[in-house]
Amino acid sequence: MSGYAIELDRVDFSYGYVQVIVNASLRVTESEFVYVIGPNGGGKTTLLKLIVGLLKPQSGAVRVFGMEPEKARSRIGYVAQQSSHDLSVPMTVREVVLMGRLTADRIGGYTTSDLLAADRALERLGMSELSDWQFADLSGGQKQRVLIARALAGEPDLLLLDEPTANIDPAAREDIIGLLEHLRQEITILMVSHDVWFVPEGVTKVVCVDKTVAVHPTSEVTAEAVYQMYGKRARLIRHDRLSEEVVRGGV
Amino acid sequence: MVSEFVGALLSQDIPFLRYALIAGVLSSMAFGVVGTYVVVQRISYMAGAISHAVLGGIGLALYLNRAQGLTFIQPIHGALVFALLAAVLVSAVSQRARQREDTILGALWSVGMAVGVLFLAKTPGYVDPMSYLFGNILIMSRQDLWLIVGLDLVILLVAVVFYHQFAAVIFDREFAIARGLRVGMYSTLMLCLAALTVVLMVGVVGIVMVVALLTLPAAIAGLFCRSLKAMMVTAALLCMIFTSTGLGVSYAYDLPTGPTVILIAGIAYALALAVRRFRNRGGAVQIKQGEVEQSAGCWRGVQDGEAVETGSHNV
Repeated sequence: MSGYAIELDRVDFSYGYVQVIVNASLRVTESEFVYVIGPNGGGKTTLLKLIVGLLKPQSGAVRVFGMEPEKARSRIGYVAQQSSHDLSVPMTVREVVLMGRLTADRIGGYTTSDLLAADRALERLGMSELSDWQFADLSGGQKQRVLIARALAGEPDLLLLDEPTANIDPAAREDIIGLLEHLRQEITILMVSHDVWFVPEGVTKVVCVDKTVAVHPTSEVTAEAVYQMYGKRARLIRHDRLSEEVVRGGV
Repeated sequence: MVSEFVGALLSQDIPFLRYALIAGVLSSMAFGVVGTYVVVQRISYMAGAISHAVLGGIGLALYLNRAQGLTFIQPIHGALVFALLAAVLVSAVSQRARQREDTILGALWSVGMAVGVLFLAKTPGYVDPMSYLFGNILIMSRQDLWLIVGLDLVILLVAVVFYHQFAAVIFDREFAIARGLRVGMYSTLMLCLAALTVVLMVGVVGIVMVVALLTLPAAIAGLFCRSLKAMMVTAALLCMIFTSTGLGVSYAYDLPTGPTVILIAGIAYALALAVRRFRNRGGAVQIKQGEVEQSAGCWRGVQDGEAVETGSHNV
């Protein structure tokens, strides 16, 4: 066992001829709270999908809890960006959350423990009262909470979130960040965000993704670095010595 | 008129009317359940391609039966084999060659029918393709009925056992994959169910119109139901009503059964759309009440006690 929750070793990924991720290495130990930032199109979502195993790297290796991502899926809770589900399918909030209990090898109906886990997850997100509502009728922030509850219903050891606070109001955003800050005491969290000015409490690592992956301890992410990355698209932020080690370590 | 129809149903001289009614009522359960999957996943064009390709199997079976003397092969057997083959093919295309999906579906649709027509042309004796294309309850036998009963049970069993998996794949494919579900297998299985379901009603409505009977009851149910299960039950009941009413009307007015059933389903769908539109206008006030309730039930989150500090980070 490697002891790492997530391990990327010199990963390359491209959509056709477009290189999205180049020689990315990353190690996340268990119970870390990792905050992933980077410009649009920089490969943040791709990185997340590589970790879930929705995408396969062209070269390099991805390991989750020392396993191939496909084998670790029952331990992963995944909250995608809001576009992947079909709102025209009639589903109650509880039904959506229960999907988080599905695994590869089960058939038939949900058990009592499934129902309890779903209810617990809904309660954590403060959505218990809306559990019989139609998912499609909820507001954006409420939907996002249900999707996080769905990921938590599977009782994951690793929670991956893709811009969970995009397109929702500031109050809902603070609620979700508060929950994550609370959850980080129990599980490993990796959260993608477009918000570089607000790094949640308890974040242990900030990962900047713009084709390549650069890792920074929270204290080292300076305003200057962020300006550099976003102001001039092509330039990477200044690497401190530690992250140089992580990024180039395997080369 | 109704009593005349009931009398005809009970008559020993015309068993086919009874067979058609039994087949219609039984198949309706599978139609409601599978039709709901087809409608919410928006794959009725795939079901259409599969059902048309079934003519190839019917033609081949009739040819083997009459020209080659393999009398144990019945048209419904050929229909089943071709339906399943077409379903597997359609599924493979939609998963591996998405860009050319519509072209390949169109080709499957036409080539399947071409194969059927050619086999029918080379089959000795007169075979009227119209019976298979648009339904003809006279071609149904007691044996067919048993096969329909068996298939119906298989379809319902599979659809119920994998209900949650199907629902997850339909609602959020990417999440289903992330949970480790074999999404490709479930998609193929769902198309196979649709293929088998289509075959159930070949005798009653024929392969050209069967897709309407698969989708319209579920589409009507979808306008008013708020869960997949409710949609399935409602669609099944509607399908039963359409087929038995259609059968009665076609008997009373001496009309072909298939088109009568489909026309009734079509009119019902148009009416349902109108009712839905009307209700939406009248329901504006109710929706406002719902909004108030929704904001009242809003999240009281975890953040109590945990002040979220925005300035403390050295960003």
